[in-house]
Amino acid sequence: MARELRRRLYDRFLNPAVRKVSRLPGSSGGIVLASLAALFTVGPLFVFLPAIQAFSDQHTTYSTDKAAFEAQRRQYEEKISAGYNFAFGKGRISVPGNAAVEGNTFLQPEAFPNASYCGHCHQEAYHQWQQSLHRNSFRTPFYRTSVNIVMNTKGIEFARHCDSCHNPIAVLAGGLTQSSEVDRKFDQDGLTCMTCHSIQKVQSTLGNGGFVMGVPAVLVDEKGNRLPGIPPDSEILAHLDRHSKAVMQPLLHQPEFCAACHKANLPKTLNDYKEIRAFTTYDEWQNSKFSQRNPLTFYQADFTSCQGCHMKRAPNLLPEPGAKDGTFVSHRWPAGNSAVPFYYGFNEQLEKTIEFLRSGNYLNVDIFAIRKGNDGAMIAPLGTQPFTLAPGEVVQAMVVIQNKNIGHSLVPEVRDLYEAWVEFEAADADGKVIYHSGFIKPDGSLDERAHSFTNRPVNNGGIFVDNHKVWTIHSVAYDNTVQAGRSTLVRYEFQLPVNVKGAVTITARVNYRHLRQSYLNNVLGKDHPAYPIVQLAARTRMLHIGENPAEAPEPGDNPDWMRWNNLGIAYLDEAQYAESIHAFNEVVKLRPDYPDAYTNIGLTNISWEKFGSARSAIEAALKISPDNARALYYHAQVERRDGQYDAEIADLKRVVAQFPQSRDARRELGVSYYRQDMPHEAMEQFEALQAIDPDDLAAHYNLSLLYRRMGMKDKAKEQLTLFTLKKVDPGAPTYSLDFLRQHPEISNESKLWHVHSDMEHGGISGTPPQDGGSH
Amino acid sequence: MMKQRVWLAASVLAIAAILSAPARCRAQTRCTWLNAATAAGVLGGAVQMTVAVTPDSEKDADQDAYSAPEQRFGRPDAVCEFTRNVDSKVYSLRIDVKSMTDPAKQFPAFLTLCKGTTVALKGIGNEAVQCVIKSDAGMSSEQVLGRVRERAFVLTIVRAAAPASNGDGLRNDTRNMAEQVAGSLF
Repeated sequence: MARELRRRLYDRFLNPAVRKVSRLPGSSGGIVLASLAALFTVGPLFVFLPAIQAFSDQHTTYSTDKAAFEAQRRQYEEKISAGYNFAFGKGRISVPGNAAVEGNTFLQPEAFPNASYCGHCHQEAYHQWQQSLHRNSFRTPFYRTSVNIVMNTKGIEFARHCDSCHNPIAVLAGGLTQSSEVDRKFDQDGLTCMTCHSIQKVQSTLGNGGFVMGVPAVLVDEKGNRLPGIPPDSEILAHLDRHSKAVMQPLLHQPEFCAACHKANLPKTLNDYKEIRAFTTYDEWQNSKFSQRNPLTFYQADFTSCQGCHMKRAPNLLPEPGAKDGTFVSHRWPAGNSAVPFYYGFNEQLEKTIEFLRSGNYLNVDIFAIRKGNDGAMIAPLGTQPFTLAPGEVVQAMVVIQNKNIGHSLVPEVRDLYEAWVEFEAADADGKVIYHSGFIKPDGSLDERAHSFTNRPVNNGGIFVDNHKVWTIHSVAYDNTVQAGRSTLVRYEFQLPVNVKGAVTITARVNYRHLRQSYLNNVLGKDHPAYPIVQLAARTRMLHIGENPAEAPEPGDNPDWMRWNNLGIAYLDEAQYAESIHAFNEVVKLRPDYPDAYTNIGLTNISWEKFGSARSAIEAALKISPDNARALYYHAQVERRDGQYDAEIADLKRVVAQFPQSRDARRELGVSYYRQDMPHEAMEQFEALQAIDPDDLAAHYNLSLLYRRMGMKDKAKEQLTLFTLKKVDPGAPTYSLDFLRQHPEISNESKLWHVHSDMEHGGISGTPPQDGGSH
Repeated sequence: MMKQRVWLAASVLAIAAILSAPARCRAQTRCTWLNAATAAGVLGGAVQMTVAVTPDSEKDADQDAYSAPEQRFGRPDAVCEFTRNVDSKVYSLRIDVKSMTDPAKQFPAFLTLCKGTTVALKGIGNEAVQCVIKSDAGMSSEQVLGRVRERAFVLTIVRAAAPASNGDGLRNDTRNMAEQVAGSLF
């Protein structure tokens, strides 16, 4: 049957003997007359019902003959252009998105072979893809709800922003216009095989669909020219090398490929406000230890691309010509989305998703310390120090959550919809709960006072942007994301009952739900089933009433030096510099040979503007590791402060030599050159920086000045425009404050550090309540 | 003179038609739930489309607890019908969308509209069933009855019976079109 299908496809699209352009019967004039006749006949029943004739696009044809294909495409372009809403300029078919296509004009959707065509041979890939998020990129209720609101309230043309990634065939086919004449049968395939496998390059790493789609081809000719059309199996089997060359671009293996869509901004054409960065997963990876492009990470690791985590090899169970040595790269792209497989009943995908989320040692939960109410002293690291505990005491548990091995933030991307949080529970020996934070309420929503790793975007009225109406976002009330490699400290305070006996169990968990309950309610109404909550990582400790001896660590625990290091990082990010330096000094005690411990003390002192102390610490690091790029980078900052400009430039040049794709080093070296009146050298650095991160504000600003000084007025103007468009609106924080004022129950989350508690007072001794407060 | 009389008669008929039309229907030039090209793809060629919307359904529904106004804006309840005449037979694709005030009670009753065998469908709307209707005189008909939040929909496709070797064609097409309709309703 599949062979028959293939023969029919070949006949329909390629075989000159049967090729024709179908035009179905029925002239518009005839239809009008028929309609009038019908109206007068059945007039009492209906008002004027317009008669509209439409043709399915399946009746256009094309060929492997490139000239014939181009002719077909021109014909298609003429038809679509005639009714297309070029709201953002003639020829700009995908704006406010960035999707581009070779030939720069509409591409008939039939040019894309559908997935079942590929799946005929690539059975494992097809099987996995069917349940994947890429296949379901468009059709899911979770996406449709959002994009429908864009279409219904702003206009379908604005949906090109979203669909450049979620449904590129629809965008490039010209389907996103008011009177679309495009048969949308491809919607159900979302990102089909031949969307990814037809992309020829990425325009930049700006995202929003920043790819260049080639005309789909599953074969190239003997000269390497891509051949459009759908050849029969025999042709492919006879030229497997040419098939591979057509569909396997080297770009597919590179992280920049993912940047085309796993990075997004909200352009002015969408929000009529200004450009706002939406999510930057690719940049987060680039700044992580896994890219090996950033010398400033707290830890180091082997190079791992996006594909390295999300497309791991595994034995294939079905026939798969793309497999190597019995293994095939995942075409499930497991990540965090458990909602889509749950909705469709894709149990296999759901299991793989949960398995993925729990694998990889991605997070570390460390109940690092407790403070006791009687003296406020920190007992740390918990497990290594004996201590006593009495009934009725106030206890503050200090939980350090480390984003240990995720190549991007926790949580990435659509933080207004994804929900990751800490659930903390203290229970007595009978299981009676003493304190609980981060629980799920009976209506399915999360405890508002939970420590959540999400954010709260707000509009210009200070109202939370519900329903993902991203074009209304003006500010973010808070964002408690944990970037790759960093840690956060979450404090929980509770009082032990006066009659408590035995042991109190304290547990900290990081949970994840895709999606936030209120969004699920928006999409499905309130009568939907409960969506999965996945426990990503957890740690439990026992607090005994009376004596607590030291205890052996559990297998998943970090070594003590790393526990202190993570605490120091968390304190640094909470601007508690003295405590941070104390923690890093503990690392020095445990690992005096570890240069980063000294560098961490140095960078904390730089943040604290104690440059003398910073210098001595960094020089201690350089004494151990003279070429250490991270230490050299911070050394240069101290040297700049001390007016040692030549040394500063020399150090930064050494960093750039080791890490040519370090955006920070390029930026700082550009600044150094600029300050030394070396404009050509400065321009070179800022241009290199822009090639790494096309959104870098410092690059836009400094290049605008430098170009102007060099007489390059047009380029200067362009850079200034981009800087103005992208820089943060200084008035935007007022919208955040409006929101926080209206929501005291969660406003503490916006504070750099805070204590979670049901207790009335503001914190136990040793924790300055004036800087945080409790809730 | 004759020409004037024809126009006069036509005008009278037109006015009569307008006045006697059901009060709850008005015409629209586009079907919100499916475009004509997609319907044409399923029916195998050019189609005619009629759309009758239910006035006030949008306004009424704005006040309900299921969908936010922005989720219904510009999308009132409606009936869309696409037809194609083939060899004196009429192929059709019809979509009926109706709001419910109490879906928990009304939707089960709505499902009794199916006069054939029902098969539960996963992944279409909040819930949906496929209704397999007996083929008749060389024509096949399939329905999907579903719900998206507080709105019920019925999709009915009638077209020529396919050869036995291709028996799932209409079933798959109906399911895919139902997915399109439900997707538009979200």
